[in-house]
Amino acid sequence: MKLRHIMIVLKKELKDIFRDKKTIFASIVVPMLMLPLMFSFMGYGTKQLEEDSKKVVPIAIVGGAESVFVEYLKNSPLFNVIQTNDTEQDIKDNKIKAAIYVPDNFDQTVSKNELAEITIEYDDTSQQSLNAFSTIRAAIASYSEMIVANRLSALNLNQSILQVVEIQERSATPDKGGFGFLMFSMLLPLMLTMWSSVSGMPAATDLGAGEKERGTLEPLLTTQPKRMSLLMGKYLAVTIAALLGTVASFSGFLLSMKLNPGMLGTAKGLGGTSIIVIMLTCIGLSLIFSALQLAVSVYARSFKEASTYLSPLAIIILMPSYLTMLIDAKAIPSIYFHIPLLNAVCIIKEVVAGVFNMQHIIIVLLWSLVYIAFSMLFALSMFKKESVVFRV
Amino acid sequence: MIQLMDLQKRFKQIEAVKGVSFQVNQGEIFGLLGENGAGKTTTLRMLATMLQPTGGTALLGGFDIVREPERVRGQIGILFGGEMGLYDRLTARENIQYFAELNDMRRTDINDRISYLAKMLDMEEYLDRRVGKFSKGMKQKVAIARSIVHNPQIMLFDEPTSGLDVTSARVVHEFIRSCKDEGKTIILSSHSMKEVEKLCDRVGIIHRGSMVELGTIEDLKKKYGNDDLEEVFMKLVGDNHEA
Ligand SMILES: Nc1ncnc2c1ncn2[C@@H]1O[C@H](COP(=O)(O)OP(=O)(O)OP(=O)(O)O)[C@@H](O)[C@H]1O
Ligand SMILES: [Mg+2]
Repeated sequence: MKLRHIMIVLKKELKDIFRDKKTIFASIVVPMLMLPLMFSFMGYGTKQLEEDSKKVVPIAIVGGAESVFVEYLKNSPLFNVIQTNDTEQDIKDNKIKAAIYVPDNFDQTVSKNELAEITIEYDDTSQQSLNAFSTIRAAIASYSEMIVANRLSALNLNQSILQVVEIQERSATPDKGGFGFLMFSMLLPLMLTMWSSVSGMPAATDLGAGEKERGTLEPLLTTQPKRMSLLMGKYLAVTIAALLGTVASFSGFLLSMKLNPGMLGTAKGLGGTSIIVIMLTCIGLSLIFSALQLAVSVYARSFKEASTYLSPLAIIILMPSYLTMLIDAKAIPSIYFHIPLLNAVCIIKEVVAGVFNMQHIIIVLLWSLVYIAFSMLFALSMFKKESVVFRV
Repeated sequence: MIQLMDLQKRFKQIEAVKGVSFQVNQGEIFGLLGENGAGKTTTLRMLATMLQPTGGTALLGGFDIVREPERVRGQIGILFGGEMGLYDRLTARENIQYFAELNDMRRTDINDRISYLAKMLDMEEYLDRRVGKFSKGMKQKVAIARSIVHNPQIMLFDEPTSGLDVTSARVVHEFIRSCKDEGKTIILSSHSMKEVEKLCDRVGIIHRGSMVELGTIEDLKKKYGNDDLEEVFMKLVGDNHEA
């Protein structure tokens, strides 16, 4: 193995990969913009919903004669009461969101301290109608509260008799940012492992199977370098492509956080050491998966075959990440730090949550070195096998 | 000089090359003639150290393909037919340069050599354009330049004209002759009698992995009493097609 040969191959492969605007767009620009766009749409969606719920809700009231309750609803700024003949049809036609059926003797029943019955008709397949339903329930609840208060004061009782305890909440981690941080610490480890593992795939496909399909492999194999040098050059090129893709995706993640601080929380609390551990983990993953992908790609006879083999790999990679999404970062079972891929997700999770367990970090780094060595040896043995390189 | 000594290759069940021996002298063009599946490509791949022989060996320029494959690779240039084997996103110059660098040439030598080859093959005009959009003939020239950029003493051609039109095939034929003129040792595999008759000093007819006949074209014509080499070939291999 000669360093000069490795560098020649590496330089050529990087030039080849990133020469096209198309590739740069697909492997850097798209990953960078995908998350910000996705979250902007999601943010826009939730905002729409919030605004909808603030709007005056058109409803119909049937019956209830001239009862006080009906007047209460009519005077509420929440509702716009409309006259209709066919409530069911009007709900379907979206003219009203819901209809309230009030018995004519409602006031009398209430004043006799008896249980009054009200029917709410709505469309449980429409989000807006569901919202109207809960708004109506809330309005009825506050009307009931008013009546109960009157009944209690008639009996000379204070309203606090109905409540035994009042709960005060206080966060033990006030500097972490609550729910937003939970989202952040759940998503980031998952995304980082995924990006570092899959970002090298297009490059790996091109540098192995692509070389076979174009017929460039035969002349390449008759040049002076040993196979090991050729493979190392390619391997480094794929790893670099994977890391660039990861950095691009991560920038996109940071950008989305800036745009939607409410939804994703903020990255505060990520100190220098955390960032170093995260970076090492990502580089380790890229090294492992680049080697595996290159090995598979060398085995495949064509681009298409390589993609067929590699796509399931992406799903396999995703599984442990999903499994750990809901695990509490502060109570990760030790065995997880010995399982490939899972241990990478877990160590990032810990570090993001501010847990620095040196023992865990060292275990994961040592394992990573083992995986890197094995995946590289695997790739090399594939590249040296005639039945793989000249597969028919 | 090339010397094959009982060279064999077995793939799992198939015995592709069953102990082939012959010698090619410096400045000589040797034709390897055979039908589809005869074992031509496998033989040439072993000589080019892409495949390991399962028996026997060969010496190329004095180096053993089994024991010193890297030394052998420095001596040879290959032009294999079918796909030209070029990187579409690189320019013609970059394609040639890559192989020159991999063959340990010095930067200044590379530039001089590429200029010389571009002039010789009349490809200066598109030397710095990307190969992707080239015509087949243009690609052929780039592949030719790449195969001899490091000035190898031995050239291996595997059906180099397959899929080419008459003009492009002619360019290749001229190239093979010029290699001979430069004193290179050459093996050319082909299933075209005409091509072999036109270019080769000696031929070996290979059939199902074995050499069935070996000699100069004149020898063969005399031996079989037939001026048409095509008929000689058919006589030798045509009787058992069922394989
Ligand atoms: N990598 C391989 N694995 C298994 N069998 C192979 C491999 N390469 C070639 N063969 C088999 O070896 C035999 C010789 O094939 P080879 O390609 O050398 O023939 P050829 O003379 O070049 O034929 P063609 O004119 O079709 O190119 C064939 O039966 C082929 O199927
Ligand atoms: Mg062949």
